[in-house]
Amino acid sequence: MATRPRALLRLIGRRRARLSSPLPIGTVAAPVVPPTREQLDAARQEVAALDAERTALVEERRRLQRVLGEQAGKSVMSLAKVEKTNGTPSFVAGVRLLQRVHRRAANPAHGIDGAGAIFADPARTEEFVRSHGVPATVAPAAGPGTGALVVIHAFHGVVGLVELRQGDRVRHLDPAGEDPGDIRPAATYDPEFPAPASLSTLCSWSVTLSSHISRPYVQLIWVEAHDGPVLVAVDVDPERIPVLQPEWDLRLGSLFDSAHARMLLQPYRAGALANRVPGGTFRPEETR
Amino acid sequence: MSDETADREAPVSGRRAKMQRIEETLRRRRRSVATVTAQVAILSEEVRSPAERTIGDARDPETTLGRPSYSLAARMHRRHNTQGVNVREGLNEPILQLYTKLAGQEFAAQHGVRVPRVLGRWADPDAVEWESLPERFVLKSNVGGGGVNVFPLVRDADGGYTDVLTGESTTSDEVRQKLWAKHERRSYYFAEEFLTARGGGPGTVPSDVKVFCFYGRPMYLEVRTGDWSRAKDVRSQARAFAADGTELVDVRALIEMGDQLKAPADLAEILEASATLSGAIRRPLERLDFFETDDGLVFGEVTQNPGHLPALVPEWDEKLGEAYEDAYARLLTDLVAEGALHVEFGDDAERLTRSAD
Repeated sequence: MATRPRALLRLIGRRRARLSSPLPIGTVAAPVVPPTREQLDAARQEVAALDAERTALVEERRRLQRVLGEQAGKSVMSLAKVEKTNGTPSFVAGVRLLQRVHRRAANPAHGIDGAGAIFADPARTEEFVRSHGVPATVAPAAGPGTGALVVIHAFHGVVGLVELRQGDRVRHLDPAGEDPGDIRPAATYDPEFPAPASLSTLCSWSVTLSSHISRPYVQLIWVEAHDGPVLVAVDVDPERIPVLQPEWDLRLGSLFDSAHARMLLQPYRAGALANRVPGGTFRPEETR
Repeated sequence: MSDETADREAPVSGRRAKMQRIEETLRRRRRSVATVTAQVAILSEEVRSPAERTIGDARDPETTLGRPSYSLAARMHRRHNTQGVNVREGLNEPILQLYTKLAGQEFAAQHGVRVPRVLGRWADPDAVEWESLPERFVLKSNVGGGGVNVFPLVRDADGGYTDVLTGESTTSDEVRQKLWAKHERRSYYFAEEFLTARGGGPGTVPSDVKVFCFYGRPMYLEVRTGDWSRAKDVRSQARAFAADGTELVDVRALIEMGDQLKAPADLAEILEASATLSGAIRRPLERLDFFETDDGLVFGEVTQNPGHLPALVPEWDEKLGEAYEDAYARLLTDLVAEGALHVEFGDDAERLTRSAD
């Protein structure tokens, strides 16, 4: 974020506090008695102070418009143009938005679709995994203390990122197994972290499982045991998500956007998103 | 002479007049400072990336849930539509069925909301039967926004027309050419009754009332006029209101607002119609447009992705963001209750269930 003069930030803070209601207009009462010289002086000083304030604000506005312009490959972005921009996909913004929505459920941990309840129950998780033909062992107790965790960040049938974690050391791999380097400022990158031997299997199983979960983004947490991969958890409401460098936030954000659309295919195909009219659903072909 | 000397020597009435002038200046300056302050507040958010806006000043950026934002949510939906995300995934949002004007109006009419009377409908601009139309009518294409393909026309004594949008004289040939210029494969044309603004003269076009709705809950509305890309010389005007009727000054500060327009005359009726229609559209947000006419409230159109998404001061961005998330939660709750959204168990589970039976 671009820096701003501290005095101006204070000024904006004070002004922001007043923005929710119409500002007082004409608060200087119409004089019944003629104004004194001091009153006229005070009023002129107030005009001068407001002029100075406005000048500083306009300068700040221009600076911000230049920043926005640069982001769009222009010198300055006009005020009217700002509202026409589409914004950019963002992993953090998208995932947190849907999490906040699901946490409005009567039981926030379960979410509106109850997915949290299913995957909090090892027996139901195992039933889900088996039902999709995934032969992995499901063992929540195989979590911390059993070696490195392999966290698959999955977007409704697409793997976006593989995270290898042990203690506070992490390494990331893209779905092809390539290491993008130190892309996560809040974590300690360890380039020596060995890639899991069963990476492609874990990714494949994660694709299968995540595509049947009614969320655009889930974390599938695995460990590699001697006798094969073990599914430790399916986390549909992760407390921690990686905050990555902008390029990667955008990349995973695009995957989130597409996953959001795929998530909606289930109700769409069931006709549940159709526009409603009294007595049924709206049939546009009748108005063509 | 200095101000001080002038003040001392001015007669009483002169000082009073001087003070009144300064007060007027003060009023204008305060207004201007408030507007630019609001613009800076909005732009200060706009320059931040969506991730930065979500994380804010959180101590641990990886665990903060962030705060709702209308701007981020509305842009996500617009992006999904306009950048082909939904189409690539095979999702054809049903709200898009309401995009064409007559389909949107039929939808509203089926909910008992009054829509403009259609006077005729034609496949292309050459087929329009001008002679069959009354003295005043509105000729439209079924597609296109921003008033580009909307011609409110009044027949003149010489057989020509006055285009009420621009105030200029025109002819049927000119209108035909303009419609052909924007013709698309899916276009067709229709004429509808000329709606008269509530309390206005016979040729007065009513202001648009644009209501931003969140799955059955209208939260923010604007009265707008002159918002037509075809009327270059007409100054656009707008006033914004909360659903309780409170006027919102400097909340949407990046576009020009005004104070000349009338506030909605029958807010309760607007809100009721908006709630009904919005609740029947299975999407967490959309905009519904109405006209307040001499003949009551008339539905205009459904807009799934406004060309200009309101960029609001932070307090209102969060307030409408909150409304959006509440709407999305209610929509998901309905979908879950209908069995249309759930974790899918595979066939193997069904086989297991069957064998257990």
